[in-house]
Amino acid sequence: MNQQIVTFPIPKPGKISLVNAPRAVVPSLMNMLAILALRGQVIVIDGGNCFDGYALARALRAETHQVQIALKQVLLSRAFTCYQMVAMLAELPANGTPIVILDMLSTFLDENVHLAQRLRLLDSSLNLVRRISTQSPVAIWTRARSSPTGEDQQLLTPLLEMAHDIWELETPTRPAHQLPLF
Amino acid sequence: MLEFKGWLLDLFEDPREGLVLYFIDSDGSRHRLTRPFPVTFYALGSDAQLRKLWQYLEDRPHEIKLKRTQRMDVFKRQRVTVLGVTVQNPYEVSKIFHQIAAQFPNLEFADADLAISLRFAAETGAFPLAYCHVQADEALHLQDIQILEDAWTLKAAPIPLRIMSLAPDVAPHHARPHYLIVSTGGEEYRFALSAWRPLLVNLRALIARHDPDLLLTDWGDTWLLPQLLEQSEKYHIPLGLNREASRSVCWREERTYFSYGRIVYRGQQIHLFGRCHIDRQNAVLWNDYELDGTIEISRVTALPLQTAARVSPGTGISSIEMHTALREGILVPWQKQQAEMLKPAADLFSADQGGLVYQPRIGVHKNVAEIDFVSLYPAIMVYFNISPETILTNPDADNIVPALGLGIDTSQEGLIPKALRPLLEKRIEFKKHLANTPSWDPFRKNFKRRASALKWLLVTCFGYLGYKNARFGRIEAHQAVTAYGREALLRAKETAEDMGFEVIQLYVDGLWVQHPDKTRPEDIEPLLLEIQERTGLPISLDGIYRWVIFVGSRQNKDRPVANRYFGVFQDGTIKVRGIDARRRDSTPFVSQSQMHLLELLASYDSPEDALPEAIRYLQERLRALRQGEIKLPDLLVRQQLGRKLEAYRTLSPAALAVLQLKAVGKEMRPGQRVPFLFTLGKPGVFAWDLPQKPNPSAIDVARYQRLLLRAAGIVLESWGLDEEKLSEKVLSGATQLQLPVTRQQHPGEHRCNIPGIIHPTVNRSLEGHPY
Repeated sequence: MNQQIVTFPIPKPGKISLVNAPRAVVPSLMNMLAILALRGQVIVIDGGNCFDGYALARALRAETHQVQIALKQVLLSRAFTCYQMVAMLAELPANGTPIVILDMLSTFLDENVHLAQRLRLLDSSLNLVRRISTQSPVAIWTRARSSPTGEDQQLLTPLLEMAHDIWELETPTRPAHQLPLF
Repeated sequence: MLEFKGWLLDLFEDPREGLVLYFIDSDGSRHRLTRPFPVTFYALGSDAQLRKLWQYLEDRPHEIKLKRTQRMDVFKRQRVTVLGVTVQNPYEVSKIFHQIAAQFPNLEFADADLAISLRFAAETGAFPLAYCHVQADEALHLQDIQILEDAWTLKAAPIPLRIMSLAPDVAPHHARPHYLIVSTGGEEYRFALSAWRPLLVNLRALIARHDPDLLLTDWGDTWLLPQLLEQSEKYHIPLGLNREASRSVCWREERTYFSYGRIVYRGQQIHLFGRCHIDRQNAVLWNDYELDGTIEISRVTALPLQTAARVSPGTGISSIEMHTALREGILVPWQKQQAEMLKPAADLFSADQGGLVYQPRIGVHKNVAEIDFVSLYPAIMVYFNISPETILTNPDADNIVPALGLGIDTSQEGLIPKALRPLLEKRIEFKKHLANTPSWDPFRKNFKRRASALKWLLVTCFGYLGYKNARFGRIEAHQAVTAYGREALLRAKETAEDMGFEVIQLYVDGLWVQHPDKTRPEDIEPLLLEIQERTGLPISLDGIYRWVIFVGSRQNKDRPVANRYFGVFQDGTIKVRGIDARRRDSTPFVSQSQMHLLELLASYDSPEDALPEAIRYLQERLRALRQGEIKLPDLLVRQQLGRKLEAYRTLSPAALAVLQLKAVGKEMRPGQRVPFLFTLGKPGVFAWDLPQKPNPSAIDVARYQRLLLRAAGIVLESWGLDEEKLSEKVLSGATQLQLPVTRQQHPGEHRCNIPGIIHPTVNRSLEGHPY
């Protein structure tokens, strides 16, 4: 996937946008974040410790020389467990501030927590996202795994059902190398 | 009435009697006592939710007592209303709790899944292996227990443990064992594994006669005890592995997990009741601190001996923190809910950094003092009061964390400092004692092992502050520790420079400094005092190197690597970091050769003079390799399987070896180390644990030769012989080495600190001529 080609539309209030793509999409997501940050405050919930501050700074630098001011508009919090993800979403304001949730399912793939419990917590999380989205635009990125398991799909399905816009991106397979004719 | 002084060996929940405790009496007898031990956990939620839970449980008054109360929530920094659920029999608590958690998923819970030994230690002060004064009634119900030595006693009374050692004659994953070797009471027995009935009868008799407190096995968890139990059942000969006859042994599953970015494998475990079982091959850090250190871990963490032997230092730290919380009446969350504060992305750049590292100057440095902060991160946590509840988002001006904009509440000691302070103080005391204990002192080894056990706990405690599953972790506290650490190291650097020292290297908690006139330990003392004054943290001299060499990276020799160096202290001790001699995946043949070269260099006043001997040594090693005189186990490479076999795109040598094992039905799990030999042809490896013997003539001699010369080159490079030149000299068969350049002839100012370096022009002229 060419990182520079993909430009995601800015999420709108009342809408939940879902991007299901491999990790290579992160720079494009940082581009989207940069656009949002130039418009005002934006909240990022990072579920996979994948927020790339340097990529964001580069994206902002292409648009403004006041990078520090723009970086201050991006408020970030990282969730390391599915319990933290729910707690974090429960505390988010629904006041029109755009919310971007990175690698949302990563914390729900924790084998230390029973699947039934994770599904329950995911359900709670999605209810909270729905509530927030009534006032604030919400964009969610879920990381597409190279060899997804049944559990991955089980966790992804409710998100696909909830989202209003869905982007599914794949890393294109590298074309077979063609030998030169001469 | 029974009254005695002795050690608490084991304790566990019992379905009928509540709590069972086993003691070693100082008169040599053993006692089994019991006592009721109700256990309380707490539910947190809205009044309506708690009322529902009350209604759900109120019709079980004989089993459960309920109480609305208030407890301290460390994350909310206040006392909160909770519903206390007291279960009369501790054996039932896990089942009841999980029923409730499933029924009321929206409630939060605390103190719910704690080890019984922690609860008992918090309530009575008596921890596993504590020396106590015990009173019991005629029915052997424990009436009173008073500890006579706390966990922080330096010279604790030695425990008269009766130990029985059980081991097969050969590693079972490598070859089929033929004998079981049993050692106990100064006697050794050898039982043929081909005759199970006599083996079982004899082993049962030995266990009954000696009644050991501890079964110390090799592969007991993963092979020996499962085999013994299976045969015991088959032949209907119970072995009496447990002292508690009514219980069967406790099995715990094998597991693979990530820790500090590394994949770790732990084999299945077998725990006993009333006596302990430790499998030396499955125990954590056994090679490092053995039984003395494991006993130390058990005492300070309040975990039973056989648990302490198998848990990571992180779990040990977690136990210390939970024990402290229980004692202080602080809620121990079942699942931590508290997340990172929302913070501007700009702050992440300054906050989310680790320790401070400077690039060292590559090459030889003489008369360098290495000074280290003593347990830097734990000391910061203790002396700067860093704990989840002491982090303030609206700091007052006095206690601001450097570069973070957060404050620290110093009005009362936080939970983490409270838990760590005695541990840190004991470690410092151990260090002082060790410095003054001569090598012949019989206590020295014991002290070293116990100090090492404490070191591992302290090393881990910082990481645990940021670990996702740590009950009392908080990322801001984690960041505050590294921020203080960077500030302390910078202040130390400035202090050294103010006092005329040149700083050669900085690495997280230590610095390497040099001064032309300050080459004795007493010369460094004023610097240590000044750094201590300016940072408020203890610092000590690790030693003064006669010479130390920082080497470049493998990929680019000119690029310095922070933690890759070796040197010789003034007392002749060699310190090595990051090179083959220290790496766990290098072959003994290579690592021993590299270490020998270092010892050779260290034995000369001018290491340059050792080079001819070094060349001869390498030639001899290569001759031995080529003529098959190196024992095959010395050529073994032990690499870790980093992932499941299916996840490899390109199979590593370790994965290829695992593939060979899989073909003969031997499964390996990620995190396990795979021993193998490099061999000629495809696939280029031979898994050591294959049933057939390796063919010595198939050994890939050229590959081992390359590995040896590369390792030797790292050590000798700074003395003028890098891998390439070394290959020329060693493989040419020449034996005489003359270093034609005097120090005055060194060409570049920037390299004149490298004694023995060969002048480029002279070197060129020499290249075609063997010495």
